[in-house]
Amino acid sequence: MKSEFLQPKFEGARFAEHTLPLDVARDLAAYETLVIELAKQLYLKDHPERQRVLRGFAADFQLHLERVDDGSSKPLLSMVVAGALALGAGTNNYFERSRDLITACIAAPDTQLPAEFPRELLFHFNQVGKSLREGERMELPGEGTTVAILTPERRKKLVLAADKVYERQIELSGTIEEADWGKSTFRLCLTDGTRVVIPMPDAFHAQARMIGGRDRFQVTVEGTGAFDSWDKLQKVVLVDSLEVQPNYQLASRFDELRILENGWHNGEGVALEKSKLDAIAARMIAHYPETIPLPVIVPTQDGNLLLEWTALGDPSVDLNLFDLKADFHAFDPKQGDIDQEFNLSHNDDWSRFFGFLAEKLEFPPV
Amino acid sequence: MTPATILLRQSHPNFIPDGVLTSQVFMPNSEDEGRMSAYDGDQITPVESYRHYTEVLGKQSHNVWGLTKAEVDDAGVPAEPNALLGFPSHSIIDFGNRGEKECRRIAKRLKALALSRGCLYLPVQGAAAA
Repeated sequence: MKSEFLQPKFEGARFAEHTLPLDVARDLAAYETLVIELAKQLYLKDHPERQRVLRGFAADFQLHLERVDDGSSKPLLSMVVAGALALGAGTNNYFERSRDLITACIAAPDTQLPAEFPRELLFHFNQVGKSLREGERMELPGEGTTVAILTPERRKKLVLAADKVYERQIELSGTIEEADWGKSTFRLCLTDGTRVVIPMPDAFHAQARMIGGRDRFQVTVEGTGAFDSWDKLQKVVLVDSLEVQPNYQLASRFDELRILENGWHNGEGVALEKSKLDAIAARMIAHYPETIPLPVIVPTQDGNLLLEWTALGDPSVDLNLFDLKADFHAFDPKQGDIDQEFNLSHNDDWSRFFGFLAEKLEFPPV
Repeated sequence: MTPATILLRQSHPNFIPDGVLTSQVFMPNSEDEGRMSAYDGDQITPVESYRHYTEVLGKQSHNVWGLTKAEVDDAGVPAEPNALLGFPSHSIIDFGNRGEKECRRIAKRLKALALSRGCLYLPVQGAAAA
């Protein structure tokens, strides 16, 4: 048996196409869990003689996504019931009461949450609305014309009303300083110097052994973090994905160069040819030797690249993107200048080029 | 303009990534036809030159560097006044018709000289030039 249950409205840039991102759908699944858990508590409160809810109470209740209507994104959730619930054994209205109480709880002022809403269920708002980003909101229709609005900030306040930390999605980038194989964690040093302990899936151990302690390898962690009321990260509670970027400083620099458009130099300045730039970036990121300090890379006004190192003899490479000719130059007061040309359109010349740099670049002692 | 005159050169933000000065700041481009612009430091301060460059000419500058006329003359790229209408401090550093490789060598020498003198003006981010 099916009946309409709730039609929330999602507002924000991601919902302009009247579609529902899949991570938002996960929030709706979390909402379903909260509806069931709250309905159970409401039932038990009405039946103090019972230790547990009726058999099939939760299992026979499901929320289904029936369709997504226009008007930002409005998923229609229908209640599908089976078994005793379908026979109308007087339990259906607990789910509707649960729905109304959740809506009332979201809409309530911070200090006046509904007394009948159990505080121990507020932690469910770690999941309900977790995917909402800044500027996005979920509107739940309440009684009459009232609307309850769930935003990231509101979600945080609801959780913190009963707990010291709340959870939200995180994306952290840094380098691995240290790994603890016994605890299966590693310590990530973020670019601002903050250290965070990250739970490590077994499948990542081999990679962690390879890149740990190497500052050219950046790890990006996506997952869930627990934050205190000052929004300070207390703990990473769940890791959804781990991505490793070798030579991330180079990758980041090439990304910056890639978006330059014609006129980037005070109205002049030719944009760098993307296909050539991508080919160079791929080689440099994958093969630039770890033993050589990274160059500073800048565009030239005519759409080429200049690489410079802070090293003895002030070495530089002018790299012409049109024909992939690379001109190396360094001052050498003893033997005259060092000049060497490479044709980087040939695979062999890349390894010759890197080998030459490894041999010729001399860095002052630190 | 005397040998001690400081010639002020603005650095485009793309030529100084993460604050690291590159020789591209001292490299003439094809529009310059070998005559690279600078400000005559006897007529204008580094701060004023930054303001003029960014506010009057509407161009981008990360910070301001300096070279003396004697230094650029010694490097083989003589400096001379080149006053323009409403822009009396405009000067040029003349690279002549040298090829790109030779210009790069000179630009690197100029960079080293500018670095040894130090940055002459670095605006505080988000604040107007004082």
